Amino acid sequence: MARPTIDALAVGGLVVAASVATLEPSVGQPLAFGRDLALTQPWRWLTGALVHHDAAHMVRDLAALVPLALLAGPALGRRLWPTLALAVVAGNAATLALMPSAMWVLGSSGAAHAVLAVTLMRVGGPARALGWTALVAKLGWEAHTGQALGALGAPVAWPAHALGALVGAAAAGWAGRGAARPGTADQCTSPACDMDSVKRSRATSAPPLAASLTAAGSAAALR
Amino acid sequence: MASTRAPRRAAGRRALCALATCALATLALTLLAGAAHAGSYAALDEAPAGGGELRLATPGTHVDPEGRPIIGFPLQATFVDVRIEGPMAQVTVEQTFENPFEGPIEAVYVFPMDDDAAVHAYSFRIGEREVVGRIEERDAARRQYEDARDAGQTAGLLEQAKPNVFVHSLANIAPGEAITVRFEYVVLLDYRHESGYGFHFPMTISPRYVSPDALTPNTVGGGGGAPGAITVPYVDEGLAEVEIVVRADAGVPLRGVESSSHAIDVEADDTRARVTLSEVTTAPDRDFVLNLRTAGDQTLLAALTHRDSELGGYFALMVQPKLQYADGDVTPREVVVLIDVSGSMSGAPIDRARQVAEGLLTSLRPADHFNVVTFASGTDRFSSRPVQADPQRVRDAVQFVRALTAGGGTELDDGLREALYGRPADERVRQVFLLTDGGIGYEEDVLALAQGAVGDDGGVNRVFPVGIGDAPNRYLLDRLAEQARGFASYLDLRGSASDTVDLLARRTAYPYLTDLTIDWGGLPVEDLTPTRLPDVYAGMPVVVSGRFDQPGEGEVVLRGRRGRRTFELPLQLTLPAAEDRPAVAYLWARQRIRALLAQQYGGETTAVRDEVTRLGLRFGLVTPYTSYVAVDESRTVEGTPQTVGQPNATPSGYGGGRVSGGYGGGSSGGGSYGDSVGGDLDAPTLALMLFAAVALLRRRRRGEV
Repeated sequence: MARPTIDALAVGGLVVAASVATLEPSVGQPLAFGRDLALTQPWRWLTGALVHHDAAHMVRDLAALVPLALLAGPALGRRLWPTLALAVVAGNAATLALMPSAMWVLGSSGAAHAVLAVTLMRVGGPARALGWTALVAKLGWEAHTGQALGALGAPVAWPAHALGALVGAAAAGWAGRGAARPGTADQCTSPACDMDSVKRSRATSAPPLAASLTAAGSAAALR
Repeated sequence: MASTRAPRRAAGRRALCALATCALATLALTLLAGAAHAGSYAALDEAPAGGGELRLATPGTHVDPEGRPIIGFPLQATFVDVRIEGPMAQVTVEQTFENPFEGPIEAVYVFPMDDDAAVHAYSFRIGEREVVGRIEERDAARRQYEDARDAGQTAGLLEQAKPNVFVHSLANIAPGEAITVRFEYVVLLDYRHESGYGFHFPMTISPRYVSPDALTPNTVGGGGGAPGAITVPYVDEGLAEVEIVVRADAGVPLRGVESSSHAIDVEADDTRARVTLSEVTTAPDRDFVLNLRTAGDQTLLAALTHRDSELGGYFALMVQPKLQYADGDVTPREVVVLIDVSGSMSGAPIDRARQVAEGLLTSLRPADHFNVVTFASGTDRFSSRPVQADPQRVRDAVQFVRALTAGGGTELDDGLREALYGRPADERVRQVFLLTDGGIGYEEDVLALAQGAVGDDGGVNRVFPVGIGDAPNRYLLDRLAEQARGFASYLDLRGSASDTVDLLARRTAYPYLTDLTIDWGGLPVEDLTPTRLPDVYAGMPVVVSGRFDQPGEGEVVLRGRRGRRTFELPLQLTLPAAEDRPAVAYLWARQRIRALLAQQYGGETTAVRDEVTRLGLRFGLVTPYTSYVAVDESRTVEGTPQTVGQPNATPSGYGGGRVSGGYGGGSSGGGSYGDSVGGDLDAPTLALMLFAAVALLRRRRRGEV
């Protein structure tokens, strides 16, 4: 099964899990990430991203996360899920440290910011500069005011957003993409391709290392 | 081959560095997070800043030995006993705290209070043993409390955070034990109702926004790093029962007894009534409001007195003149409807505000000038400058109001500056109708602004706040009206907007009493408060209190102006040799303290602090500088108490949405978590994500990725 298909199935499963965790408190309560439970129940560092304040909160977060994960995720290949996990964990830790009054950290927008950063690293030209400028300005506003731009009166977990974006950018850099270079072999020319496929194809087309050295040595000997 | 491996290795090293950095940062932040949680927060001054609300930082989750969360709130029951005598209410509140945990706890409860309440007694009871509190200077009281707490003694501390927000700490409640706390206060009834008086008992605190530019020290709230932030945990359900009993002796015939907030049972005769809630409420998510309608068209007069050898002599005089108006008395004016469209107003509150605004606009006279100004994170206006109230412009303004939506912060000071900018044309009086829930935590900044803007404007500005919602910030709105020569009105989420508009329009369209003085006719009165009588609007009383050293009896005359005409009202006043009504003395002291504190909206002064402290200690009143402390020295409780924050109920109709908190259960189709933050994605962020997705798709179509 191709990676993108696996990712799509996994994303679908997470949407279902998030829906249940958010709408059914008896499911969400053992999964939500809370300050007092961070050390004694470590699974909550990850499962907390499934639990949202309410249906509206969940819809907003997933409406951003799912499309971007499906669109830009293939560029990360197998690294997509570790990246999302790291974004969630780092975001939780940062929120606990930088917002001492927060007892619970809910939602998946840290992961959404991670895939947003990956997407911005994939686009090039003015769109990339514009997107990053807007993202940095937004994060700065959130850090300064403690609220989102369209705030409804409650604080927003801005450290989760900031760390999510950082992790996503780092992961995109690791994937070695940045703005794709036209005319090189490092290209995915269709949404269905992914980095793993490209690398497998490069590996099969490159000659074995030993044969290369023998040929170079022979050439040197002949000189 | 080497040429393909070298770039790969370089990319791999970069990636590894990035990952290592992230991992180290995560580890460091985790350790910091653990260190940040090492202490527990039990006091106002220890609470760190953060968020944009009125918040007290306390641990929100408690776990049993297996790590399962325990759901339990210390406050088990609240009983409120109200005795009304004429225009004054004496209130006794009993709160029972119980410890549902296996170790001792310290319960910390941030709760609302009537902003004019004179809190004069405090005690707690363990079984049959009562421990009576004593009034101390604030720092001394806190030290005594903390020493007792650390020594394992049961101790209670009652402090004022704001005039309408108190903090009660009760340490070393033993496992399974119940302790009943009792405090008493006196307050004058509200008099903003037509032909009657109102009593309100606040039951929850609405969340407050704090501007990042707030300057006043001890600002309650967070946002932008303001110091002294206090956090209030909220829940939607699972709170204790509240029972209220009111016994009223109005002294004048009663025409009706009603509540706009709760269902009540009433037993009444000519001048007295007994009122109870039809059901004890377990959802104290709105203020309890009781209206006592009195009959008669004559001028109402009430004089309450007290004299004893310990406190001396005090009086409170309330006069409510009944005045007739003619059409020719109409005041030329410029009307500004100033509407709060911040996030906390979303939902039912903004609907009410639109209704009131529309009603005010359609009640304008053709000769009036008007404008509409809105404020949230920024300001907006209907017109660049005030326009004449012709039918087309009024229709356009109504459309402007109907299109308003709520969202963003609450920069009330910016809104007031916009509304009060410049002088009205043609020597008109400017009337600003402020429609808001008052949900800010930087009240003193706003009051200082109003004081300065209105103080030297030659009398052209008036501000009439309309508090919208079930738990508005009455402290802010009452004081703002006082500073700005207006009066405050309140409209809850069930009240009639048209009734509110009618009352406002009627009272503000006609001239009121100005330049008021009282000729005391030689009676030995002194230390009068207020020192300068405010303007009085139709149907509203003049309230004066003072001291007297010698008994006496005589005629006093209330004089003033109504437009160009003079006004005089003679009254008979008796100052007795002895009368046992100490509540009158507490009221005088409270009004005196209020007047003193109004002098330092722009910043604290030593003189005011010292005088307020002296009054607080002499009369046993809780003030910003004096607190009640009670210590049970007869026993100690083993173990270190864990601090538990007692939540408030999410205010009814609160538009902020995500303030609701708790440990289980839920509303709106989801769970609820106290003191939670969410990584919410607002519209601009979603737009940014859409932009990025579209940009990436376009590059793919062009074959660039």
